[in-house]
Amino acid sequence: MPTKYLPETDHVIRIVKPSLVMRDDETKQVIGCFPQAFRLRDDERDLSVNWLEFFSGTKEERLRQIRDHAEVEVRPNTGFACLNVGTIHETCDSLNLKVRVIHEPTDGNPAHSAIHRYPRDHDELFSILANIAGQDLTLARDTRAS
Amino acid sequence: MTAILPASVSADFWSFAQVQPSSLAAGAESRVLQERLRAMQKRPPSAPEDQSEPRAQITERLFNASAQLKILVSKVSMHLSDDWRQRLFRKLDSLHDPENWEQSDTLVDPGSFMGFLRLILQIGPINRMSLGVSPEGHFLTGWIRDKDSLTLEFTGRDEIRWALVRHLGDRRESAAGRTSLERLTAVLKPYSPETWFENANEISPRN
Repeated sequence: MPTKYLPETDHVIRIVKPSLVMRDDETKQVIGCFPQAFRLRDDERDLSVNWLEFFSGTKEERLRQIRDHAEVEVRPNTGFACLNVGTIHETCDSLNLKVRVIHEPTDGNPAHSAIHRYPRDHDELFSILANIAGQDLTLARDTRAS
Repeated sequence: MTAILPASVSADFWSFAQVQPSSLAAGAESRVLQERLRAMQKRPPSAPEDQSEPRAQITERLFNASAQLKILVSKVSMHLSDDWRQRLFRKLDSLHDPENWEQSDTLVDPGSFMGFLRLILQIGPINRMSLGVSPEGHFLTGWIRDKDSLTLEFTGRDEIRWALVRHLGDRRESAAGRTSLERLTAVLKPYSPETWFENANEISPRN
């Protein structure tokens, strides 16, 4: 099966634990996520993400599909942090990192993808990605059908 | 501006860029503070969650964990305003909300949390901070102002893993590193940390 690289115009979703979602102290509004959300977990070799445009529909409909196919625990305050694939490449290139964003569907998640050659220890990269993705973060509770 | 730390600590202590760890050494009250800090015993890290733990047990475990951290705060509460302490307690409760807790989550390591407290005692209570927990149980604090972000991870033994992103016009500046509690202010100084830390004189002084 040929390797399918995600187009740079498309987006990926990184699922963020509630304990890594950042909220404003006074307004309680979601304001971003901690860089630790973009570190490889112990059970990850590559950074696991979800291809947003694999599913059709509006962004909200696509997020609901990603939520429904998630293979990790999703709580009401779990975050879905969105990143443009081109931005990932641009950011990594600026840090002399050559990553590959590849579609790797699983039995339960047809949109599953992974960022290969992703460093295990690079706090500066993680902070930049969190900074960007945190500006486009949706909580699971807000993906419910209206 | 009224200092809420012992009177022997100068008002300059509140100026983030001018904080010198040696200021804690001045005066009898400051010596008491130092002794309290040294007396804090490192506790063993909390064990990771049992994957099959019933929800009711998780709720109890989280309640106890939050209480444990509050007890650590109470050991230095005489150096914190009631208002700030209560707000911290509310945030700790939110961090330990069973609704947000995943089976794979790790409780906050008390040793990590004490590093956070030592930082607060060193630079003064800071407002508008987000709290979190890393998968390793390290206590996290973070600030976001406009698009600029600063995060601190307390990894234990007064070591801090920091990362920041700043936007200066069209340019993005980023940096990350690991340093000691004593060195943090000096390390962050080139990046204008006042961008994230609100002015301490907005905090109500302790009566």
